[in-house]
Amino acid sequence: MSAAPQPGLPCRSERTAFRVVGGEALVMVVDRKELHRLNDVGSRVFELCDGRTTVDAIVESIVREFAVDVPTARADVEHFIRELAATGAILFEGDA
Amino acid sequence: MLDFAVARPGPTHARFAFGGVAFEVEAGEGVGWRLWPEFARHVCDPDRFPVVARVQCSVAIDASLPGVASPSRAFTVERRGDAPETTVVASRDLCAELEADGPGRYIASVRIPPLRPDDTDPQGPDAVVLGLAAAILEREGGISLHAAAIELDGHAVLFVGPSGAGKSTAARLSVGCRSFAFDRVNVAPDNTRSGGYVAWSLPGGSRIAVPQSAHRRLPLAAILRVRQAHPHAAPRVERLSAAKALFAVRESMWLSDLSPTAEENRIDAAALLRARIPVGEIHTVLGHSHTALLSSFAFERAGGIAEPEPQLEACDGCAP
Repeated sequence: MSAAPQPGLPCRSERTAFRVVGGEALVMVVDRKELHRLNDVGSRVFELCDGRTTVDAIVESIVREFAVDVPTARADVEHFIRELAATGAILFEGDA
Repeated sequence: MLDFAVARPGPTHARFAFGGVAFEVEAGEGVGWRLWPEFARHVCDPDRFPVVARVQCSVAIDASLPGVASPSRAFTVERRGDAPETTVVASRDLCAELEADGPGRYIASVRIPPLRPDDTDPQGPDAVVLGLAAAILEREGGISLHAAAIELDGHAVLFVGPSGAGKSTAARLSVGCRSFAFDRVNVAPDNTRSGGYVAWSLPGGSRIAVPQSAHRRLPLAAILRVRQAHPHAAPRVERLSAAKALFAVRESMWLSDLSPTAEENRIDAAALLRARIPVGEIHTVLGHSHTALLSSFAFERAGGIAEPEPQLEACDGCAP
């Protein structure tokens, strides 16, 4: 099984610093000098963006861990990943 | 008496403590080395006030550096690409390379441009001294913060937040307290007091005024993120959740060494600070003193815990 990030899957940028504190995460997007604070759900989504986990699998994890229904989780996760991508904290590995 | 005189024409030796670091400066023949008066009033006597580290600075002229007519206090701190153990501190016209020389000891080679024939008042190395102190402090587990501060019962209370947040106003509304810093503060673990932190005032915020307690080193009592309350509300102080407290501290840090590893170390340093020193949020109201609230929060750890807020919060831009 390969541990390498897969094309098209969300992956934390190597140019971010990331620490979880009290269930929440601080994410520094180094090149933009932008600091973000994520709540517990956001922190978990960010953790799962490892370049090997599909968005579907992330949604499944969130549904299982936070007792939320699938449509709500999918909408929130997809929106949040787009938001993170816009900040540069997440890349889609292999995409141009 | 500390010696800050410019070295012209002979070599000079200067010794002072600034921002938690003891400086020993050896300047060569013909080197201009003068701290601006306002800057010099923020120094301590290294024999009277403990420091976290010591640095031996040699200052030499580098003809390849362009002198500038109006040096600023802006500086950058970066690891040298080909030698990561070396930190390069640079301002518009000065440059220094910093290396460790044992526990709590450093060596810095400072290069300055030649004096111009018409330069009767050599500009100060303020930016490089600021940068060296910040870089050394960070290596020793300390933090350099964009903050106003007051002295409360012999302790420092820091007000942090982005420009325009009301840090100076919060300091002025602390009736009965002497000012400690207008714009910048260094903090570091207090080696003489278990579990505590200590704060040093740095220049900035005013070219003509110096805070009353600027020359002292004070134990750190609290850090408060400043918010402006509704004009008809009463001032209040709240403790912050761990992540909010870290956010407040990190968004107020100086330094420009931007790498993921440096950032994670910085957040870890802020987390250690937050574990030992109360970090809260103060909602100020013009015309209302909040000194009693500060005292209660800093020394009695009073105040409610703010509820976590959902999703993504971004600061407007982290200092500098």
